[in-house]
Amino acid sequence: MWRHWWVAALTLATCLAWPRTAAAQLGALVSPGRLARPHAELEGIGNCAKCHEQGRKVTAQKCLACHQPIADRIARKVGVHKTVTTDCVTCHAEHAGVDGELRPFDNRAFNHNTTTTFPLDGKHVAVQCTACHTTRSYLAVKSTCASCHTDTHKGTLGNSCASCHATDVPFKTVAGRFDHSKASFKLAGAHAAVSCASCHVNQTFRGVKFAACSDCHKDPHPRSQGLCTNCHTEQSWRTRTINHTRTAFPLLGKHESVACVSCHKQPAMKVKPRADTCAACHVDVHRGTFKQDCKSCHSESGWSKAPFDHATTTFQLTGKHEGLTCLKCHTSVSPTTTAAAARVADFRGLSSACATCHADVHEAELGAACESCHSTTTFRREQYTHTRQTAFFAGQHTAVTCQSCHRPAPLSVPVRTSAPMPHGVKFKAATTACVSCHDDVHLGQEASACKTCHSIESPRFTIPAFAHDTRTSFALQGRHTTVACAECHKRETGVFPAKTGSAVRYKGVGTECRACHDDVHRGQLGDRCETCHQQVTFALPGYKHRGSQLASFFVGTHAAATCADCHKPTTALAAGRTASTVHYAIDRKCVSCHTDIHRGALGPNCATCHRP
Amino acid sequence: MRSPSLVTMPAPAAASAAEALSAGASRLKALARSGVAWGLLTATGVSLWILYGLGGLDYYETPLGIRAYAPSHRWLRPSGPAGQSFGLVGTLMMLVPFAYMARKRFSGLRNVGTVKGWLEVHLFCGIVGPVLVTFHTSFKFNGIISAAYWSMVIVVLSGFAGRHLYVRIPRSLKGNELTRAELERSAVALKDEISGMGVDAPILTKIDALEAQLAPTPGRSLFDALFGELLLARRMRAFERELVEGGVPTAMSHTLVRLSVERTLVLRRAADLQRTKRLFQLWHVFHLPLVYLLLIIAAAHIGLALYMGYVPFRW
Repeated sequence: MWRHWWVAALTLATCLAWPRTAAAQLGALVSPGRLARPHAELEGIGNCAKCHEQGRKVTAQKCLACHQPIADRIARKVGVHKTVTTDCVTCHAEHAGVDGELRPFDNRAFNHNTTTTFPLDGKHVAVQCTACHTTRSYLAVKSTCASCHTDTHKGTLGNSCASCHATDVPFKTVAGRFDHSKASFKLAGAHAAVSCASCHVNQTFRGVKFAACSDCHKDPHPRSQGLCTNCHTEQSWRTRTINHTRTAFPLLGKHESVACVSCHKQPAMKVKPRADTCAACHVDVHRGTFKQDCKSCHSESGWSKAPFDHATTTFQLTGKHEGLTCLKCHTSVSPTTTAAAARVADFRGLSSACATCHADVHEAELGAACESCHSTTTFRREQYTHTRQTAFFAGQHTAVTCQSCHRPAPLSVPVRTSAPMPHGVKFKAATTACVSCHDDVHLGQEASACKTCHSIESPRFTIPAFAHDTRTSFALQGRHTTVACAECHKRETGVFPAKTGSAVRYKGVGTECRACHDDVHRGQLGDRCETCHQQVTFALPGYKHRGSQLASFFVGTHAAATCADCHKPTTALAAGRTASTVHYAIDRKCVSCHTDIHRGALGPNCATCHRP
Repeated sequence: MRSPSLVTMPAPAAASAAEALSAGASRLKALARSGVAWGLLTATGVSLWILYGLGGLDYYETPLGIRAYAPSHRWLRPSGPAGQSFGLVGTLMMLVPFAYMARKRFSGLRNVGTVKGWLEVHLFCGIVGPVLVTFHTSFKFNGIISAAYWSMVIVVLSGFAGRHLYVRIPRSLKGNELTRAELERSAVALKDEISGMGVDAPILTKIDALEAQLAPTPGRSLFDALFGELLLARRMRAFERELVEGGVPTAMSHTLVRLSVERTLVLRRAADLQRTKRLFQLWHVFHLPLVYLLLIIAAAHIGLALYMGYVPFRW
């Protein structure tokens, strides 16, 4: 049998000659299997004794000599191994291949809350083990947040994560935990809705500057406009409280009421109209006829209130011209109601002649030199001295207004009817003849010249001393000298030499008494008034009944009786008159004056018994 | 192995049924003395017990990486109570063949049982032992000990081959090898026995024709010499059916065929005796050195395990 030893030796030699180191080879030969990857460095025959102990298999002491943290935890009775009393190999098996499992760990059954010092709650419950336990050793993770979580705050907020974060809500949800009102910068208005990262860029929470809005906000204004809060509030960027005085273009006058978008076309912030030129916003209605120096004429008070110094032109504005609007003369300028785009304001083409603007109401009668009579103060000519007929313009003519003589004629040009001086007056047509101005109120009764009776010295055409005695056929005597002219010369309507009309009758009045006086006697005494009456007075102080037969009658008491005792008023003659007429034509019968108290019983012959 | 029927006397035709029964019983008796049969039976039983009784099927199917945490690991692991026992018993059983070797080698042991008896025990242990050792490995084949294992597997397989050769070397009841002359005599005796059964001449002619057809021809191939017998059984069964259909009683047909088979086998083995013996000697050269290798490595393996403290009953 021993002759076959060489076969065994050859086989053994073949095994030993395997091209590897003898130790590793031997290790592989005696090893019951490859070690798991974490123990790879223990592979090889020289390392067996590192785990295996002679006669005692694999003892806990050998394992824990390397696994010191586990030994520590077993000693302190904490963690997964807190109840361990047996050798490690009771639970941990080796030599099961490179991929052999060393830890029989069922993480589904593992109670992290009771076994470890870090109970899992909130979001931690659903987290995969490997999310935190990234290394092979479960002990590499500490119970601090930073052990698993990346401190996005870069350590600026310290280690007390729980002061803002909680495990029951996502990390980004710090509402209810973090009170920003405790920070130096209180969140109000629109700031309350802003995401944290908008201001806390790169997760920087401490030391964020907030003193100026521009610390977080980009200033869209082309130039620094001062404090943002002058215009903006925390509620919104939108504002109508732009303090334009802080800009290069303070809003004055009319600009104050202009809508922002009129100049700042949307978007407002990107439009920056040039502040130094009006044309940035305004259309040049002058069509370039003026230089671009608008301010020389216009101000913010309004286009129409342009402070234009007209004195710089060849036509100075004085008097009434001063208050006129430009459009009064510059009629080619569009009215303000015209749309801006269509508006034209061409001020050129006017001459300084009055007729350029004013209508010549005199229709060239007085020439073009208006200023010889008119001034810019007023058109009205209050005083004019007719230098050539001084005698004519004396006396009552002195106070006569122009228009009293210079009367309007039918107009040939349209002029204002409300003008104080009626237009169309012909001045040169007026002569010094009385009829040139005065009407003949006598309607042709007087053939002689007016000045025969009237004088410019007497007011209101009065005739102070008319020579009635010499100039008429009826000399005025007695009471007639004091009688007013109108007592005899009455106004009447009728046929006059000039025409039929109403006028005071001077010619043809008549010299008989009844031409002027009423016959109060109704014809009882005839028309020879001078028989009884005189021009001195109508009264008859000592009338004697004439005739011989009357001498015997006016005796006794009849001689002492007054006229009125017998000549009593009677209505019989006064038909149509208001006053009764005294009855003069009475007979000498007693009953004419006396009352028959006997009622006719004694007959009509009173003288039978009575005596005058 | 000499078939027991060689010494069985022919039974009367009337008692053919009882003969058939006794033929079956004798076959069972032969099986009862067969180490291979007992070995296979025991190995199967043990395997079923381990796989299903001890939960080995689940355990051995568990991937190696996590097998250590299977519930059966504590028992079935190579160093566990069951696993180590498998190794221990298996190893001890595999030491029995050495007793067989010793019985063969040392004259002092010549009276301890028969060689054939030892061989059967050898075969039994050679089958059951490796199966137990296989379970001891828990189907982990690492390191040099796996060389021992595979050596063992080769030894077992070669053992089957050896037995295949062994049975082709006819031996006496005591196990002594027979010579060619003895074989040829035996063949003649069988021929006489067939002739003495009183069958019709045409049937004898048929048997002669069949034997002539199956007789070993000079210069036939080694493959035919080693495995040609396997075809014999089919031919003989067909011939037996042919006899029964031809009117020969069943028991007689059976006996006739059996005798004929024996005679054919004797003739074939006698013809190949030299070649078979030479092959068997060569087989020893192959079978034994692997056994030594197996012994050395297993000893080292056991020694290291004991050194490290993996001592039986200290589980």
